[in-house]
Amino acid sequence: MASTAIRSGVTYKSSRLYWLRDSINWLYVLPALFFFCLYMLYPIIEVIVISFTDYKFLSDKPMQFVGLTNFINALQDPLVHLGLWRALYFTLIFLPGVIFIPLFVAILVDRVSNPTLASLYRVILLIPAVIPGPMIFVLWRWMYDFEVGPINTVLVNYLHLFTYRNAPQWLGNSPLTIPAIAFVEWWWGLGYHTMFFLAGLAAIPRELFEAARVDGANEWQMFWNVTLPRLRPIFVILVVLRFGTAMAVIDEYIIMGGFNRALPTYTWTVYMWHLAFNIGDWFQGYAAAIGWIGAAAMLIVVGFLFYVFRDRD
Amino acid sequence: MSVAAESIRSDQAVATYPRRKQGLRLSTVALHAVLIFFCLVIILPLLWVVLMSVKPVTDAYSGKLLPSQLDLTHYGYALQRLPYIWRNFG
Repeated sequence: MASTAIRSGVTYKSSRLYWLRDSINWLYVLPALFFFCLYMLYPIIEVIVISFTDYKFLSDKPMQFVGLTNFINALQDPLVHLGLWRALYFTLIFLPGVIFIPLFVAILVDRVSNPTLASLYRVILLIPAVIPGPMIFVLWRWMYDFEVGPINTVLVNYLHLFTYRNAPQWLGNSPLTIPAIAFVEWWWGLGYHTMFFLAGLAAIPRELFEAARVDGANEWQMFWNVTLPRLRPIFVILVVLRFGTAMAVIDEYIIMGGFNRALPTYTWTVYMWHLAFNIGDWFQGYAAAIGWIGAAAMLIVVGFLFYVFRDRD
Repeated sequence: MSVAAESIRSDQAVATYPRRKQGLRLSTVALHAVLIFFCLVIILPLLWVVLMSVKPVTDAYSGKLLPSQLDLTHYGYALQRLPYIWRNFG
């Protein structure tokens, strides 16, 4: 607070005025704090409490405190292990594409000199970002349909590359499922992430490129030594954010794969949802423990990522 | 001396200036080609949805990409069956 006071050119003589200033700042934070507590903090605490009980939503028995039983059971549950590995597999396919394709596109859009065309490209790339997620997934579920989906229609009827005997099975129990869902995510996020990188590119002072050019650097050297280091903060943010969302993906799995345990889309998030809202008496205590195990696994990786990307300067 | 220097400079100007100004270079064409490819990847699925909305049902289930005839009955159906649809735009 002191630095704010100095910057605004006002010097406070008494500590009482400091206190006033501080309390006014808290007042501004209050609305955000209220909704943070209501929508983030309260559910998190509630889940902690539930995860130590045998709470079943549809059961009329009162819930019992069971200690760490849920956690011990969940850690030994093969479906939890399998679900975490499946989510990790999706993340590893999804993450490079959602970082490097938008970076590539952003560098290209940044080089378009005609301002009308540049904004036209931006607008077109941003169209999917304004469509709600579930609609995207329903759309692509039809796109990937084996018989009437346009992708297989083009491959079979128009290009004659396949027949309906050997056409690719995009969704369902096939090795293409996870890459296909990752592609949908890339398609959805392309414009959005391109905007991140465009903002980063616009923040690089032009003098740096001019100086590099005067020193005889070619385009490739300028990219490696000027552009990439300057985009580093955006890389770190995107990798960490997208890692978290990719591990916790659930709606595309439910829309495209349903609740079939044999499918590669049945990850730990789907298992958790399935247990909490669909199976038996709705075992929400056990599901909460699975949620915590998944969240802890993700937090460990995020901590590791922050360590890897730490500022070495 | 100065005349010679000036003539060299003007030669360079003649040699370099028009080349920079001249229309399409290969790299510019490639740049726009790649960007148009990405824009097509974005637009084509959405275009398919728009076409789907004006296709007769038989076309939709026989895997025809282009509608054999313009069929707006689906819009009438949606508006008739969902009278509250306009609320979503309000």
